[in-house]
Amino acid sequence: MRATWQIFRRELGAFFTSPMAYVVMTLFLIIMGFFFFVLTSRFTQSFGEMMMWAQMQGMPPDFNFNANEMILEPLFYQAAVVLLFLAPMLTMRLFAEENQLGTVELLLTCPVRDIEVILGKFLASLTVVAVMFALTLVYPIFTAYQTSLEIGPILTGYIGLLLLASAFLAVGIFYSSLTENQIVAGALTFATLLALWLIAALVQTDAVTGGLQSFLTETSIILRYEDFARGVINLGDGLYYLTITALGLFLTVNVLDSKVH
Amino acid sequence: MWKSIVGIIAAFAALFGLAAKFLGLDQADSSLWVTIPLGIAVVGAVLWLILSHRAIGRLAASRSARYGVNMFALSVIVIFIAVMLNVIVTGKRVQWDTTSNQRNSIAPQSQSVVEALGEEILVTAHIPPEMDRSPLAPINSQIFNGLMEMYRSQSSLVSYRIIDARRNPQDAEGLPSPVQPGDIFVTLGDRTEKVEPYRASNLEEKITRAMIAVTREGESTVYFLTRRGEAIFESDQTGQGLDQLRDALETELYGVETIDLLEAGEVPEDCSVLFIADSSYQFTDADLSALTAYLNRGGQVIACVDIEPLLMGLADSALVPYLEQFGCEVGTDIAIEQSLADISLRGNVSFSYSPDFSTGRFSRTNDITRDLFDPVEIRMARSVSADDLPRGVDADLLLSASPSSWAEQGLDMFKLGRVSVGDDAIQSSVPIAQIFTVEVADHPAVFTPVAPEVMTEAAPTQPLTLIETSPEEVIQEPTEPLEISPVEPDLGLSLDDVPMDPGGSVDGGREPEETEEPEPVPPARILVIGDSTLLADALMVPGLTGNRDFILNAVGYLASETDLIAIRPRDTINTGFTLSPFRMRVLVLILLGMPLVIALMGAVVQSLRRRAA
Repeated sequence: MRATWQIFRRELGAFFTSPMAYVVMTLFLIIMGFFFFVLTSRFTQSFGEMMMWAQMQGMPPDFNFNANEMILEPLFYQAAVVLLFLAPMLTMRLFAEENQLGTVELLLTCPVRDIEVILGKFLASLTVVAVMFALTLVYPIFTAYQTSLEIGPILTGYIGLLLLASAFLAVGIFYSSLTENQIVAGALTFATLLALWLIAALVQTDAVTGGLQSFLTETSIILRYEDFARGVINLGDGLYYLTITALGLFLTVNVLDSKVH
Repeated sequence: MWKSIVGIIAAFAALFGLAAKFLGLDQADSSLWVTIPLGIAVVGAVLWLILSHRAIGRLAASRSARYGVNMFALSVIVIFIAVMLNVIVTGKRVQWDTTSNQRNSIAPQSQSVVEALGEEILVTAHIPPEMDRSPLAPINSQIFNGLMEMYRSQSSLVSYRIIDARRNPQDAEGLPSPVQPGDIFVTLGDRTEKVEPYRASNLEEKITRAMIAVTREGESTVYFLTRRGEAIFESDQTGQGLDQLRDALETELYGVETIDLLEAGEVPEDCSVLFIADSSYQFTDADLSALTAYLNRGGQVIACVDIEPLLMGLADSALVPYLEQFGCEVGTDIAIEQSLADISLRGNVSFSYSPDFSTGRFSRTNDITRDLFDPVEIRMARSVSADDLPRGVDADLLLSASPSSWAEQGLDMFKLGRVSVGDDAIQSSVPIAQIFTVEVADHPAVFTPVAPEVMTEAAPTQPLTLIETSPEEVIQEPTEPLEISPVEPDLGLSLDDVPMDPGGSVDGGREPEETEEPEPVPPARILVIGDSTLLADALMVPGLTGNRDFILNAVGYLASETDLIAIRPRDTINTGFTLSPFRMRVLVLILLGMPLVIALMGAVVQSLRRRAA
């Protein structure tokens, strides 16, 4: 654990002393801010129109306008989409750079275990993502200042995002360990995550039916996120993301181990 | 050289064969399209292995190959364990709904239904693709899938499928035809039930009811007390019929029958609930004797008692003094809401008893009213109190008037349309409906025949004075009490057959048979409502009032089918808001400022690094 902590600190420092973390966070906040603005504007505008209509009709203002469902739930989905693009940017450097510079052998011959190295790098990248998500807390806080919000769905949304991010990052770290070219690592990560994502679209077509449809539904990385965004913690979904994470890290250990051997 | 050629040919042949299989050429034309290339591939592979055996042997003996095989085997094992773990956990469907109104979970009633399933139940929906594209469609795949996943989260015995019966009619085989777009069917074994017409908001309720229908053994029957030939169900222009109530009960899969106790002599064995909806029903001794026998074998009764006979100068229902033995006091009053007191009071004042209005309230401690949502509309209700409950009787308040109402006792003034909170008023939240649970072993129902002259004193023109005399005069000291034994309740089925001892006890003087254990009698329950107009067609329209849900819940509760208690739709909580121009500017400032600050921080850090370098 000590070695993991040391590597975690070093990697986190590398993130925040290089432009990478700032660029990724800035992009993330710009895109998320845009979505939040659009969703909030649309919500308030529709609600205002309905209020006026109700007043004109002499009806009580009893509508199904829920800020959790109409602003924050779509926002969580958008965060997942944005993460699909940004996660490879965060992970492509982690081992590919070490491979390119030849420092990976040095790292692996140090008196630290492979898993400690991998965990240190993984947790550092996850922390960057967590900081990114923490900055978006301003959106629910602003909304809560305007109306009453349900805390439960917000918490589950963030828990789901963190689990999703950990799965993305683990896949990214695996590809980063395979190559010394950061672009290739990023592209492979993006392609794999996109494939897992697009399974959702495939499931909704007539092309797949029966058992294959059920299998693909359970495999889709975004369909597993739906419950979290709606405020439901599903143990199976959580385990799915943890499994992807564990498999990604396990395969990375194997790749690094093969370099030593 | 030859090795490579053979290998390439084998690979291409294999690819060709698999492509032909995928395209279905083996079925469309000839199986040779697949067998020949795959045969070539197999032969080529074998040849390649023979020609390359030395190279393969060297590779297999190498250290990296052994390591690779080990790693591959380890990876396969780990992936297999991970997949199995996911399959098990996903199949269990353990989840927590964190929304405040549990809108992402099925209702407790639905949960209990699916948890009790003993075999697999299949829900089939005919949703063609065009319904998914139409915003006006009552259902689409997303809504259906979302709801069915909630069911599946409770039980792996629930499965579902979406079919397109027009494109793939074979998928609709076994379903009752014709299968229309939007139709949903629930199948359990060889029993299939079509889900009743639904809206998106009550789809869960309808599917759950269909599930109950296919799983239920036998049928529950509700009997309405009526005189022969009286058409109490037929709707009329004033909306006073009970047609809607009958439809609602039949929709809930109850059998609905009428019974004249004068003719039948007893309440039938298959009666789940006896409904006394007609407050003008003239009870005879035979009626009350049959009712007594029914209660003493654990009968379930809904009794509506109106004030209208008293307002019309008629005698009060004989049911009123009868109910007193259970501690039920039906008042000679009318609940009036203060805010409505200045409205003309003759006939059409409506009171809403709902938590959403200040005019009344539900009891939230009873299964019947716990989840009621829409207001129950009651007109001219009289109070139903539970006073001095005898041993073995328990009462549960269901509906009461609001704290701002009063119970007007001056019926003469009421008839004139002039009432006020004065001496004749009881200023309190009077109870309107109560359910009395009677442990007949401790407190058997008793009926004493009343002298005919007492019952026939009431003349159509007689004023309200009747109510002052009724309780004490109607119930006299029993000279020959007719008591039904709680020990052998079955004997009470027909009073004529019951041997009586001089003291009037049914089983008095008889030696109990030692070999037969008496069957325990379930508690009798009597729901007394101080009004019958709430059952009228005009007030039973679904979605307009909560009357329908209230009555259906009550029938379900009394018939011990709490699963059938109406499922309240989980409406989204309204948290709409608008933004003033100032707050909108604040929002824009936050949304622009945050990334700007982060970008500036990055620039500063880079600048400091360069300087340090």
